[in-house]
This record gives sequence, C-alpha cells and structure tokens, in this order.
Amino acid sequence: MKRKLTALLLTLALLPTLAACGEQGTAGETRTVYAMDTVMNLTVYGEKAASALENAEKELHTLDESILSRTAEGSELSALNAANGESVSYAADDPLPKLIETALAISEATDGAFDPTLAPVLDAWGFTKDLRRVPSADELAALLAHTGRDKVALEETADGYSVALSDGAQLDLGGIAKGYAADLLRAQLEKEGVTSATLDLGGDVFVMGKKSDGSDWRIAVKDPGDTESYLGIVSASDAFIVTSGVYERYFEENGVRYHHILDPKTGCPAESGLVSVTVMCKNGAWADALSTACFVLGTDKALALRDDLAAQGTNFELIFVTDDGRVLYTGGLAAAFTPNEESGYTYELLA
Amino acid sequence: MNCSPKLKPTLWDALVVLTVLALAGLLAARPLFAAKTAGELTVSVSVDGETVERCALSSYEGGVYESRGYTLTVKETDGAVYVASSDCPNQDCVHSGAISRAGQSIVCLPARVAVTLEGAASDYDLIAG
Repeated sequence: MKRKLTALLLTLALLPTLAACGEQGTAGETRTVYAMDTVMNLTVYGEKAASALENAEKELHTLDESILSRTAEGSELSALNAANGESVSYAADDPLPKLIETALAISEATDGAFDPTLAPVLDAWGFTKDLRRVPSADELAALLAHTGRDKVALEETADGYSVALSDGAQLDLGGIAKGYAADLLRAQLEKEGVTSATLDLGGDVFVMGKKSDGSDWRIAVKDPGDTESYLGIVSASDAFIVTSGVYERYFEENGVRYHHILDPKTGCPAESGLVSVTVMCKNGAWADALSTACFVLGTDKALALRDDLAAQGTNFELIFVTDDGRVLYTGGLAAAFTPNEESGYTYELLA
Repeated sequence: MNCSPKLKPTLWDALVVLTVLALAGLLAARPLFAAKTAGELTVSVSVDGETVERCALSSYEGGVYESRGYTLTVKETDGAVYVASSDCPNQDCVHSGAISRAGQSIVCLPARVAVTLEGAASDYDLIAG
C-alpha cells in the first residue's frame, strides 16, 4: 500500500514538469532597440535568448553609430561622404564596402530604380531632416546631376576594398541598411545556436525558423489605405518581408500629398500607380532595396525584374497595392498569402 | 522453471491511471480557457524602451508623455488608441492614426515613445510595413 501511494505521489509530482515541457520556448524574450532612425523589436526564443539579444543590440548600435549612419559624426559612411572624392580604404571584413557593393549590384539590376546616391535629393525634400518642403524643378535638376551609381567607384584591393565618390556624390544607405542589418543579425543568431526568432526592424520583418508549435509565422501586411488594418497574412519561415508604401513618410502642401519614395530619374515622389509594394525573399538587403525599386518601377517592370532575377538565381515574391484598389500577388504566394476579405480590395493572383 | 507472477490491476492502479488522464485532459483544455481571456487588449506605453504604463485597454484613459523635450498626448476612444497631439517635428505619430488590434503600435521616433496594443488573440504574429 505504501509503495503504491508513493507511486501516485511521484506521478503527481512529475505532472507539473510535463506541463512545463509543453510551455518551454513558447514565450520569447523581446527587446526594443532605437537605431537606424527607427524602433526595432527583437524576439528570440530558447535558452540563449538573453545573451543573443544583448549581442544583437550591440551589433545594431555599432552598425548604426559607427558604420552606416550618414549623420553620426565619426561613422564610416559620414567619413566617406566627407572625403571630397578621395579614395577610402576598408578592411576585407568591413561591412560598409560589402553593403555598398550589394547596393550597387541592386541599383544595376533595377536600372537605377534603387539608387543609394539619392541622399542630396532626399535632403532637399526634407525627408531626412524633418523639415519637409517642395524643392523647385531647377533645384532638383542641379542635385540629380550629382547622383547615380556611376559616381561610386568600389574596387577590391590586396587587403580589402577602396571606395571613392566622384562629382560631389553622397551615399545614403537608408533604403537597404535595415535589411542588411537583419542579414547580419540572422548570421549572428545562427552562430549562437538560435533556431527561432523574429526581427522587426521598423516594419522590415525577418522570421527565423518556425514557431514553438512547429507552424510557420503569420505576418500581417499593413493596409496602406488604412494602417489600422491589414491586406492579408503571409505564412512564412526563414524569410524577410519588407514593405514600401506611401503612408510611411509624407507631408501635404497646398492640398498635394508628397511621399518619400522618390523616383531617382525625376527626383520627385514616384508615380507608378502603386501605393505599396511588399517583397518576400531569403535575403534582407535585397528585400529592403527591392521593395523601393519595385515601387518606383511599377507593376509591369517589377514583374519583368522578378523574372530576370529569378533567371539569375535570386527569387522573390511581390504583393502590389494599386492606387485603384487592387491587390496583386505573385504565384509563389498562392498558398502562403491569405487575403483579408474585409479590407475592400480586389485580390488578383498573378501567373 | 520460474514463472512471472500474474499481474492483477488493483484499485490503486486504476486511481493512478484516472488521475493522470484527468490532469492530462485539464492541460489539453487549458488553451481553450486561456482563449477566453486572450481577446482582452493591453495598452503598453514605453519611453526609450522602458515601459512606463501598462494596463487593460478598457481601463486606459489616455495620458500625456514627455520625453527628449517633446510632449505627446495619447487618447482612447471606442476601443482604439491614437496620438491626439505631439510637438515633435515630423508628426508621424499623429499621422499614424488610431490602433485597435493586437500587435499594432504607434511610434514617435523623435520622442522615442511607443504605444503598443498587446493581446494573445490575434490572427498574426507580426506586422510588416
């Protein structure tokens, strides 16, 4: 009798452990970081969450303040912009030249629809300085003369890279830096043995692995017409999802709304018939830059670009929201994208 | 030749099995009970990454938050929260409009103030855009 009573008590004692097993890893640890002119929420699951978050925050601040910021005194990028055309050398493992190399490759692939030298034009509109205004056509023409990827010379040297900006060009990597940072954080998390995490870098999302129940992450895509609502939900794992939309930064003057996604060819807010573009792909830097480029290109050219890049081994999916109330999404999202039928949009799956 | 003794289930064995089954059933049903309360939204306000206010949306009466030289007035109406006014330079927080779903947030970057709605009963894990 005593033995059986002991068995019962042991069983009862072990049950909470069983219950705890079911909960392990379901609650991640989250950290809020202000960097790169935005707010970021990083959530990591598993035993190594605390140390991984600590390292991730350090990495983000280092990238922002010491390397990629255009405004922080002493950052590598601000030093390059202030070099008056002189060549600047970088070590082989320095992130800056690698990011510039990626930015130039995307600029070329998109025929300039993504342009990392648009900084002076963005400044003229005040989108980078919170002093928003409409520049004159003459002012824009003068500024555009100093833009273009041909004004950035990047060369590999024996011990790293050298970069030189010509003709007064200035680099602003804001259109690609968050995606690139997410790429670096992903590599760092993998190195630390993390298998499940979500990174929200100011709305640029990376989902690592799967949820604790083994299912894909569910990412709502913001409705550009009603940011309180969403267009639909994308189910994904190990993917970057980035949206560029007119609702993010804009101002109104004399009844006209001016948004911050500039067409590098005109220097003015892009008018491509779109109000937002969402890109999903396996590379953060590409996802970030392509969302801007595809917005500028418009639906047809963006789809042609998707085909061209797929032929070169870079695959990505797109969700367009047109200014006439349609949501168009590419074939690779057929199973992964669930439209929000209450949104009022017309949904079309593209071939 | 040795023979194993014949095992006969007793009342004690049955009691152990029933106890385990009953508790397993309770554990399995726990999410169903949790779901009833998961629909309640919580307002969380953080300043520079530190949470300064956290309460149920139903009891939130708005607030005035000062940070980095800026003042934001947050209001609640009909189950939604919005920044009614701010003296920050870009007014992005005011332009963000109202939020009423779990996972949504309004961020004032110059002031480093974030207003977030939390709640487990959501169709999604994150918001892109």
